[in-house]
Amino acid sequence: MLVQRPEHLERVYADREDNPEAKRLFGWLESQFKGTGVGFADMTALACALDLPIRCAPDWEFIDSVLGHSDGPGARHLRQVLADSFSEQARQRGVENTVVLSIAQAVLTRGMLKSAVGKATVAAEARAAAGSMPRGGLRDATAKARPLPAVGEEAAAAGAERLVTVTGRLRAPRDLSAIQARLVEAEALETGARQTAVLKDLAKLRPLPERPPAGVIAGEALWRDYVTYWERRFSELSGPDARTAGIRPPLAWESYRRFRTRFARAMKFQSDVSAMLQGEVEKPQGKRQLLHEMARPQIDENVGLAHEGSDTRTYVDQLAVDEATLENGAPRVEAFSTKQRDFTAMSDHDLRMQVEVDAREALRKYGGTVEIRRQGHPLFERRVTVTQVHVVYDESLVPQVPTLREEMKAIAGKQGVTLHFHHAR
Amino acid sequence: MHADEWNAQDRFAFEILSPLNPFAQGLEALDEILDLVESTGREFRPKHMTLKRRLKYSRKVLRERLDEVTFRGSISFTLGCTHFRDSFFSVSSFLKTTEDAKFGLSLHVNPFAIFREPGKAEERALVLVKLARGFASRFPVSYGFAHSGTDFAMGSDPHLRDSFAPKQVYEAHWLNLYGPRMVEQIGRQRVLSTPAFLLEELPGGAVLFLTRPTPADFASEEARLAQARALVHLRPELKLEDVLAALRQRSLAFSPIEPDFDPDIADLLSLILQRSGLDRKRQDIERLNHYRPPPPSEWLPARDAPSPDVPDVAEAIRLYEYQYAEQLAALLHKEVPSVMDASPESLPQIDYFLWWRGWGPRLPEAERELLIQSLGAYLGMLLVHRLGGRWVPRRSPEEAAVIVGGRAWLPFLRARHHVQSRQAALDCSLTQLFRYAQRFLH
Repeated sequence: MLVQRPEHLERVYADREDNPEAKRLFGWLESQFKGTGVGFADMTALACALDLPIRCAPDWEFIDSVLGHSDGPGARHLRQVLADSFSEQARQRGVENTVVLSIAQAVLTRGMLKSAVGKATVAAEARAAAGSMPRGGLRDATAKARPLPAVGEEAAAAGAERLVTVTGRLRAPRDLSAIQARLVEAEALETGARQTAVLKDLAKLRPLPERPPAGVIAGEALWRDYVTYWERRFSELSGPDARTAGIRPPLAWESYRRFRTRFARAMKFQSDVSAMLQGEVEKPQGKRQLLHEMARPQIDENVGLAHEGSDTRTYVDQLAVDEATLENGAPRVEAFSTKQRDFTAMSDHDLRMQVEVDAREALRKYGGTVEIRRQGHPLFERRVTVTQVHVVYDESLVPQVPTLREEMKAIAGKQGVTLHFHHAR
Repeated sequence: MHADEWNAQDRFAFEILSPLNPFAQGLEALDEILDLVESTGREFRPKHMTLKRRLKYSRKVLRERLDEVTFRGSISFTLGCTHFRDSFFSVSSFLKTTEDAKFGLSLHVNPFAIFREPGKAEERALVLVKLARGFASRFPVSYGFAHSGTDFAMGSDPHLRDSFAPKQVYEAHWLNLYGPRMVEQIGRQRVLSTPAFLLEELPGGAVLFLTRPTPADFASEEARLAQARALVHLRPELKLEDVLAALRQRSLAFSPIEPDFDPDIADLLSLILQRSGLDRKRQDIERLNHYRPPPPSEWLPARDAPSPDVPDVAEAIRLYEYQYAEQLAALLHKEVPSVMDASPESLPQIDYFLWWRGWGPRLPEAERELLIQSLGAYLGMLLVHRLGGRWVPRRSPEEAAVIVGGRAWLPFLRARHHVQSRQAALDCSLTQLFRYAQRFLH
């Protein structure tokens, strides 16, 4: 087919006026690119709404598989389709204009960029294979691409810079599907008030984009999200297997708002912890508190893990890998689970039980032998045994009772889990 | 303040670690453990048990439902004491194990004062001694202790947080239980000649000793002397006077002192003190007694205040009071319910909450701006409605003022200073500005 054959793509593009088969094929491609743009815009909107520090990336794998390094008129046309559908959808979802523009630019210049990066990456991989340097992510390769006197150097350099700016409020590209999975998981566990499951009555409660409740501005992103969420849930509930699938009715607006606020705070806490771990990475090994066992740690967020004998994928908040052990049969891998659990109103007894439950849950979800499902991760598709599981609580929500804090650590320790208290400053 | 009230946060910690998991040979060991736990007498013996949920204590049910508390082969459950509501035993075989720590039996007593109760202290102390003896006569022991939890946490023994710490002498606690390996390492003769209130060789080669008749007076001069003597005997490289000085320093944490805070923010600082654990409470009071926040800088003489530059003054005030100040209620109503009353008494609570949770510096930028807006409007509204002030709305919120008496206060600017850092929430508290405004009114 068209995949990995840019010359063929250009031929199809050129022939589309005269050849109905080529026209149909190109039309199909256009719709695929359009869909990719819309999907990417939705993810970006979600990231912005949650105020994630990272802006994510589109499905480069799909885009590159079709366009390769080509910069012919067909490839340019498809990039434009992608950028346009992205921009339109992102604006509709209320994404900031500057963000829309810079991402659209990155999409458009990606082809040229890719050709420059391609060379740098090949060279980097050759050196990595020779064992002389660690494999870096796109950011490393991109940074290295800049000084290369490669094809279209100036444009490539500008594109590289822009991409770094766009993806670059971050340390590593954040896996947005993981955030979505978590949002879904958190929504299912949400205990706030829900509306009726009786469709006839529920229909009467339909929220309208232009008629938000008092105190909410019509254009507010969260209200738009709520309307989208409500409509999706309504249509799921109307589906034939809603009952068997255990679909719950939508949250009432106030509960939804509280739920999203809490979720955003949890995400913020997670990125605080990531920043703290990143700070550790930059310290000499002897000065690190958490990553002292690692010679060259690399931290990634929301890494998907597959578990033996289970279809459920888990997403670990932070995964630390010691790059110095990558060539070993057993690389050193540490998993961090961050939790904003409010212990302040719990009895001593319940607090201890909760720590044990959390430790066991962290072991179940992130411990043992796992397969790493993050593309581009140095251990992608490798089965590894997690060396150490950590739980990080929000320090401000733990009672200031030294005995309790010490014992919490011991309880987790008896499960083999290391406990930390993090107070963001 | 009475010592028991001051020390209300202290817990009693007791744990025995075993190099053998009794459940490894089968569940017969469960009965032996329960025999021990039940032998602690009518006050301590279990009334409840927590499996998946809390149930009435029953051996039969426990045995039947043990799988509820088993995780990858490790078993862990708790048994609530009959007479003490927040006291319980914890029985657990560890998932992670080391050669000398595979199983632990612990007893958590809250509050510590249970061991100070007049007429009961000796009897209750004896329960613990019997429990330690009984355990050592049935199962091998590697290490055990019983002591004030806070004092323990302030010392150098890591066993409260880490059951796998090397088994060696760190401190002399009230009750000390050394396993045979440890005893051999120190030298049996040396261990047996430790100056102690009571010292016993137990079956299996373990040694138990008490520094004092009861755990109650661990911070007293006699107890510190006894602890120091025992410790330097077991660790001859230590000097008695050094050990004693460190122990006396620790004792200070348990003797009350009175706060003498800056009167403008005394209520705020008292709230902040809630975040000081007993181990730090005394030194925090000493520090806060010296703390005087800088006087508020967010004001102008009333005659220098600019005039309103907004097109519609009434509308601007409505925006401040009905929208911005309302936002604060929306943001904090759950965490600081008193914002709903819009009373000056809510200010220390708002300051405290924002200091404690560090929201200001932690919030994403957009939310932080929202917080500044709502804090400023809320403070301004109180100045207007409680002190008879007058709004001077400005296009730039930092210039918006409330004139009270001879001064024009800048509530939004204060709010911006407030959210810079956790320390700024104290240095630039809303509470202090309000009290100053109140004072300059007269």
